Amino acid sequence: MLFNSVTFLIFLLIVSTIQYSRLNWKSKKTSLLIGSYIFYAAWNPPFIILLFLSTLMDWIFAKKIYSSTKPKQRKKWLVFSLVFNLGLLSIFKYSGFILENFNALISVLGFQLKFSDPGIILPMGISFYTFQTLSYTIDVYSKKIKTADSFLDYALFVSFFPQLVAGPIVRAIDFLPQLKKTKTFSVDTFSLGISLFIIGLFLKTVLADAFFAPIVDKVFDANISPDMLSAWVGGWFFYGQIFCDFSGYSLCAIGTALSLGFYLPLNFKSPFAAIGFTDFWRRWHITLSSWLRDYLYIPLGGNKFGKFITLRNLFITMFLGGLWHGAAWTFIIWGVLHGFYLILERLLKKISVLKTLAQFKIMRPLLMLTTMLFVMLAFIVFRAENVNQALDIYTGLLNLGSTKEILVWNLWIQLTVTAFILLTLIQWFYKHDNLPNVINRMSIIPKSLILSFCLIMIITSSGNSDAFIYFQF
Amino acid sequence: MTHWLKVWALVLSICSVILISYGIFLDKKGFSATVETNKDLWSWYRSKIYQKKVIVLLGASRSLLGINIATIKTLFPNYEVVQLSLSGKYPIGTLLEIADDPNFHGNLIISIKAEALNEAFFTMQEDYYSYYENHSTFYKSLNAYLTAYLQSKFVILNTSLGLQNIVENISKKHAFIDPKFIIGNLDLSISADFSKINASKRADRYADLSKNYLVENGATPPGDWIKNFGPIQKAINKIKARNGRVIFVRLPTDDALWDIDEQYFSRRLYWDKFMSLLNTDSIHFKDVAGLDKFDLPDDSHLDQKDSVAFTTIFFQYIKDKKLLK
Repeated sequence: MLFNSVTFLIFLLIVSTIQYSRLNWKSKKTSLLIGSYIFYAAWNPPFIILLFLSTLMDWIFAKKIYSSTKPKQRKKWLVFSLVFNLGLLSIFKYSGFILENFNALISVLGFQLKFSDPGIILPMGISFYTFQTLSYTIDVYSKKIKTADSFLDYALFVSFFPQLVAGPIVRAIDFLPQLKKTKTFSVDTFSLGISLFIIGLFLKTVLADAFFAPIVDKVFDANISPDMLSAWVGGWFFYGQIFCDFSGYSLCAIGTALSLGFYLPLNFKSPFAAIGFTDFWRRWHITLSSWLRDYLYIPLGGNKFGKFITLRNLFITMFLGGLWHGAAWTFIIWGVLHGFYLILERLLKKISVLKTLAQFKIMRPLLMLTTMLFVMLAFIVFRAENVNQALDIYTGLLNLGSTKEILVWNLWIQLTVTAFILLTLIQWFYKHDNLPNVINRMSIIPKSLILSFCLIMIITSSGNSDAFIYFQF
Repeated sequence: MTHWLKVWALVLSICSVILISYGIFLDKKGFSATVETNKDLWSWYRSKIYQKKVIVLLGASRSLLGINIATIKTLFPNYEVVQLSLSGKYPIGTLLEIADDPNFHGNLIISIKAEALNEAFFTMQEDYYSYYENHSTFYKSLNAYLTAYLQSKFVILNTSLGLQNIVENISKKHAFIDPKFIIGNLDLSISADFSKINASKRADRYADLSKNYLVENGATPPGDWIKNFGPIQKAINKIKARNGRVIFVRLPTDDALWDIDEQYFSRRLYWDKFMSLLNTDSIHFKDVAGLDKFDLPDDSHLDQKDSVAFTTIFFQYIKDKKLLK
């Protein structure tokens, strides 16, 4: 079920009505759980079985971990959880990719054997909910949390519909306590939630779908090396598109949850304003980067075992972060690029001249733009269908070889450039703030004008209603 | 609390004033609420063909523009009427797909020209029925229907009014977009107001396109043509075995287009021959009194002012002949 659909609005109305009715808290949680499964089933009904199975297995594993006193036993159940969850992810997400590359490899080696693609459907949201359930079992193992009070609470934590299919990735330590007591209706909380939802929808349906996507698609789908202007415009606009699409979805999720009385973590914090790549990953897809930091980078040793191990851990984390996004070499290369960026940043920070220069205020916009540039360049391979297409775009950026003029510098592109610049400036000036705080501080008139503008644009924008980009992960 | 209540009151006021004003502006410019057909919406209607008393319309734009669903419902009040025609695409593939659906027992009225019976054109509607079979879900088609319902009520949801279209039009022509002469209805039919365009220029273009295609590709000789009837006959037999009915109809074309059709696909050698071989009913517009008297502004399609009268004559004929089950 898409947030930008009539059926979702009706669904939310029904769920909200039940949530703020006179039913007891257990009944409300049950109806939220049923609603979440209906939400998921709207995509492909049989896959609610997989969601339930994943939920049930990690409930059992966590219970076993919690009740075991012997470290070996606890570790055993943790390993079962890891194998189960990563196994599920591997089968559904990576089996086709593994097979395709295996076939390519044996073909290169001269063998005629070929295994056919099993054609397994990728369940929507599997990358998100498996990470969520894994974080639960790991946190129970690490004794950071105890197990949920009831299966109902745990199941609702896993399948809570606002964040089920594309995040934010929620930790049990943050969500389970919210299930202990009933939610009472608050005009302020409900209104803030709806405001975030409206702004999220504006980012997605107006900026991402109506402004950026048509131009980006034209450049990338041309299947030819574009001219220099088109390549640069396409690259920058894809950065704009993916930001607006994904942060828009996250805002819709956070806003929906807030309207029901639940708090979800922020997922984006002005990533365009990042100065350096470490800062970028503290601002972009925050719940994923913090998950990777806490459950991968730190267990690998983090930065505690010297320079070489630190750089190795950074690389492995970003490599797997890229792989998490999808079963394709383009995503792996994107992850590896960010790994190299982080390594390079660490090495450059050691150079005292550069370190001193970076501290001057005047350098900050330059460093921000440099970070934006390299992030944009990495996003080109993320967007490309394959490595060859990415190379076409890079060739176009440098005006090498034969290129084809794709875009015409017209009023629409100029307007979109203006929108991109405004987006950048807003993020720069509010880089230390977050949107809910900004909204809460606004007085009546500017708040009303912004929300009205967003609503009018959403209603009258007739761009192609594309699926959220992160649904494919 | 009062802060937010004031905010929402102001938001509601601002949005109402602007959207209503925009709606009035569009109305004065000649725009109408219009529904855009898409695969999910088509799937919604495709799932409605399983009732005992149903009339399913297959075809292309002639069926969409010429046949008025409400008129059929007046003549056949106990029947569900489902329009599955798709503009610019011949419908034989959909006939074959529905024939393979064991749950369909109703009446199929298929609007085609002889040219459509070429096997090369059988898959023209495949992207739609394949989508229905493999990707459509109740949620997606319900959402498409609800969205279409809103589109049919509110002119501001007209999909040709995308911001990019408006900006580019103003930039090139220094004027707001012109309204299209066709309007999509909620039942998937189309209403065309040819007074908004140069219809004879359109007629000339159709004739040129048709002629150029046929000159380039030629028409299949009648003897070879007949080989196409095998799969179609099988499909008809399957539907009839389930107590369904299939009726082929040739809707009107006029003047230059009719002349081209007759030159390359003469009625005697193609339509009449084919229909004589198929064990099913067929109606040619030339054989029904009054059907060939309507003006076709572009030589191919009816204007919206004539669709009710046309449908009345056509379906009264079907009713009189008791062709439906």
